[in-house]
Amino acid sequence: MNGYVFWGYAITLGGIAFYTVRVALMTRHMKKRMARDK
Amino acid sequence: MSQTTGSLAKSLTVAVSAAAVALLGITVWLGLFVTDPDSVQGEYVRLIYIHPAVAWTSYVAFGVTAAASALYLWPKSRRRFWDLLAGASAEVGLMFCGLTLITGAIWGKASWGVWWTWDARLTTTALLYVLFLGYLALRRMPGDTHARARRSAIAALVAVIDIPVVHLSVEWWRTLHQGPTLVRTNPTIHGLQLTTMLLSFLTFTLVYVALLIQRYRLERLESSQEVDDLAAAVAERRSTISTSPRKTDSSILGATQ
Repeated sequence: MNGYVFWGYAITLGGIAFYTVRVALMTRHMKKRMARDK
Repeated sequence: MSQTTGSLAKSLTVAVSAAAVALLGITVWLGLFVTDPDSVQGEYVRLIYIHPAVAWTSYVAFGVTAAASALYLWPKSRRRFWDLLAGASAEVGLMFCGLTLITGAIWGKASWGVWWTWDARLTTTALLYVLFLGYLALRRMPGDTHARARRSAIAALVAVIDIPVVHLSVEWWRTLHQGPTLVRTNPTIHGLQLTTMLLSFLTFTLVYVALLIQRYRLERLESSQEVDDLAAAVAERRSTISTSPRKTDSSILGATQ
C-alpha cells in the first residue's frame, strides 16, 4: 500500500476513534462527578 | 422522558453507531482493496474515498450548528436544546474539518509535491477551522447562560458564511485544487469508484450522527453540572455573608482614622 494513502486512512480512522473514546471518557467522568455531588 | 422513549432512543443510538462502524469497514475495504488505481493519479486516488466525504461531513456539522443557532435566536423556537445541539455539532464538525485539512495536506504532498500552499480552497478551509475554533472558545467564556448562547449563535451564523465560499472557491479563483467531481452534469468518475465515493459520503454522515448523539449527551451533562456548580457557589457565598460579623459605623470610622 502506498505510504500517503496509508497515513491518510490511518489518521482519519485514528482521529475518529480517538475522538469517540475521548467523548466516552468525558461522559463517564461527568456522570461519576454528578453522582458524587448528589 | 418516559422509560419507553428512553429505551427507544438508546436502541436507536446503538443501531446508528453499529451501522456507522459497519459502513466504515465496508468503505475502507472497497477504497483500499477493491477499487482500481486511477490511470492519472495511480494509488493516490484512494484518498478520494475519505477526503471529500470528511469535508462534506464538516459542512453538514457546521450547517447543523448554524440551523440550531438560528432556531435559538428566533424567540418562538428558543430552547436550551438548540444551543446545546449547536455546540455539540460544532465540536464534531471541527474534528472533521481538522481531518479534511490533514488528509488534504497528505494528498497535496502526493499530487503537488507540497504539504501546504496558499491556494483559495485550502486557505478558506483553514479559515473555516479557525472561525469555528473561535466559536467554541466563545462558548467557554464565563457569563450568563442566555447571553452566552445568544452571542455564540450570532458567531455561528457569521462563521457559516464561509462554507459557500469554501465550496465555490474553486470556481471563483484559479486554484491548484481540482474542481467539483460529483456536482456537475458529467461526473469524472464512474462505476465502482463512483459507488464507493457515494457510499463514503453516507458512511461519514452516519459517523457524524453517531458522534453527535454522544457529544450532545456530554454537552447536556456539562450544562447541568455548570448549573449545579453555580447554585452551590451562590449558596456558599450566602452562608459566608450570613455568618461573618457585620461592621458597625464606629468600627469603620476607627479604621479610617
